[in-house]
Amino acid sequence: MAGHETQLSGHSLGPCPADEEIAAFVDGLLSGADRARLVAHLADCKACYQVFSGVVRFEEDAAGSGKVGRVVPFPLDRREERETGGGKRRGRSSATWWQVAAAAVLAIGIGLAGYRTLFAPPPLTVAGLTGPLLSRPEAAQNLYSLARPRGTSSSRPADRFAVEGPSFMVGVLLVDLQVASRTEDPRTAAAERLAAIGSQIGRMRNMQKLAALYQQDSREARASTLFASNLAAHMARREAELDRSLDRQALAFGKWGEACRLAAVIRSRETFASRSNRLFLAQALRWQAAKLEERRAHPRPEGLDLEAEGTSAVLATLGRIEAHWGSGDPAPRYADLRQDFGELIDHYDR
Amino acid sequence: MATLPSPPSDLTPEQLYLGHLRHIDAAARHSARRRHFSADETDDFVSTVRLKLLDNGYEVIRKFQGKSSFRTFLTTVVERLMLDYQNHLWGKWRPSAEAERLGHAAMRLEMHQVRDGLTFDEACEIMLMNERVEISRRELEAIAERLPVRNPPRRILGEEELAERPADGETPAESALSREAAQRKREILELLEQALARLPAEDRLIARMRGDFQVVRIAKVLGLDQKPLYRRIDRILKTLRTDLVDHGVTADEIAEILAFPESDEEEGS
Repeated sequence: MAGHETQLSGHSLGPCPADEEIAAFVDGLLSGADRARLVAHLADCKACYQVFSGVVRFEEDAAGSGKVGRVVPFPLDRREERETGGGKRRGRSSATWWQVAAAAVLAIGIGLAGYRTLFAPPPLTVAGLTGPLLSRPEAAQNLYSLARPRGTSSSRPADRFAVEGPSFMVGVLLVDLQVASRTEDPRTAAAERLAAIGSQIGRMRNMQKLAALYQQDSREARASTLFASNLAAHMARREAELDRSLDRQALAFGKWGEACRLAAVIRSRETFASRSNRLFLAQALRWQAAKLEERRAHPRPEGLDLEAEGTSAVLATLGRIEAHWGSGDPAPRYADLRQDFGELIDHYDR
Repeated sequence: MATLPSPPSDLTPEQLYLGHLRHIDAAARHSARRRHFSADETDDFVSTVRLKLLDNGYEVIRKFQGKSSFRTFLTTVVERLMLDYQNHLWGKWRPSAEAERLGHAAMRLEMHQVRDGLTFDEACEIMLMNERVEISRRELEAIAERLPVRNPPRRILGEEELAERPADGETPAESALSREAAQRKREILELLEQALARLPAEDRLIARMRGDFQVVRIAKVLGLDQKPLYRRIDRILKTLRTDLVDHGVTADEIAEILAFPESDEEEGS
């Protein structure tokens, strides 16, 4: 990634070193001629010096705060940890007493699944989730159906899942939008999903402007102008925007749910062996359990607490998913998981 | 200094990416914060970094050979991407050497005033209100006084725009003095660059780093003993001073140019 940049002094500059060499220098791993060459280059190349000083500054601030750039340790699966005798892992040192205490409290409340969330999983991105799906045409043939019958607004109170439901469904559609690029008619598939995203966002209060943007995107996708300007890059920016505007947790839940459903369809072991995905399952269980606890602490008259009923159903589905996911050995029960994840999405898509 | 081993070879690039995503985001945000990016620009840069790392099936990550810790490698990649991003953001416009020396708030102020043709008040308003730059108006005034006078890109103003444009605060005489001072500053900086070029490579790097880091940090990064480094830096500065004096630069001018932060004086010296 190195380039040729502005020279600072009258010395002749060779080609810029690779980023890895600068990193090795910062790590103190260069010696002899390699070190001398890099020192001479950094003394004279403005761009490389900026890169180098930026890294040093980051390391300095990270060491000072103890927070910047904490890396999630690999692997985190507790079974693997026991097998490798990694009880005192390097990455664990960052857990403070209150994190451990909080995890213990959670473990009492919702069992071992909650205990796995001692370290939160990294944020899920559409690009990361769909990586294993894009190379398999069956995934593109099994996108979540936009034509399935849905309940009318009279079948449920207008405010039910008013933010959580649409946010979840936007997550589902974002994953499908990415995979839609592998369909036979990607423009139409993308345009339909962009329009559906617009409709979901439009269900939320005060979100009409954002919804209109997606309807516009849909028209541009049909007219191919959005494809000409790179739909993937466009959507990556939009993803960050949606993260800020919608219910972030529900949005991630929707992305994860649809990516896992498609992974079950194509029997992707990679998706179900992914540490991030397993951690997300534990996090989702904890989240839904906490919601249910809250509803039970503030009960509404029987028959009227639809949110509690919906959460109970989601929690039950997640329990089945956990059972069918297994520990990777034996292999996940793909057919059951396909059914489970379909149900999960159906809970939100009314 | 971090000397972590290379990541386990059985991890896929995707696993490496996801496992370090928090670090990647933190490095990107840190880099953006140092440049006083607005919240939107910061988010955009973080997205750009993520995309670049995902490009061509994690090509950047797949090229990692294990010569450094993976974490430092990622930070370096993020910093390099920041340079590209700034080029993309600012186009062909380049800040003056003095603005670069004064830091990113100065570069930004200069960009608004010179490239975009805004008045100081307008630039301040944008930086403080829209970009939420963490710097006071007084500090910006101090920076503005030190920036060289540069001609904005030629553009023809409409009558309405001209009518609403406030008169410049400086008289013609003051303006001429500012230009003269700025010209002198450019000359001195050029002489300083030439004096630096006559130093050995490691001394040149130390001198540059001294403008950005405390001695203890320089010693650590370059693997040098701290105590002798203080004396070495004194020698380097003395050499530079002598060189500048030989070229007609006065002591006051040198004091301004070579004014490094002195908060980390050698203990017990």
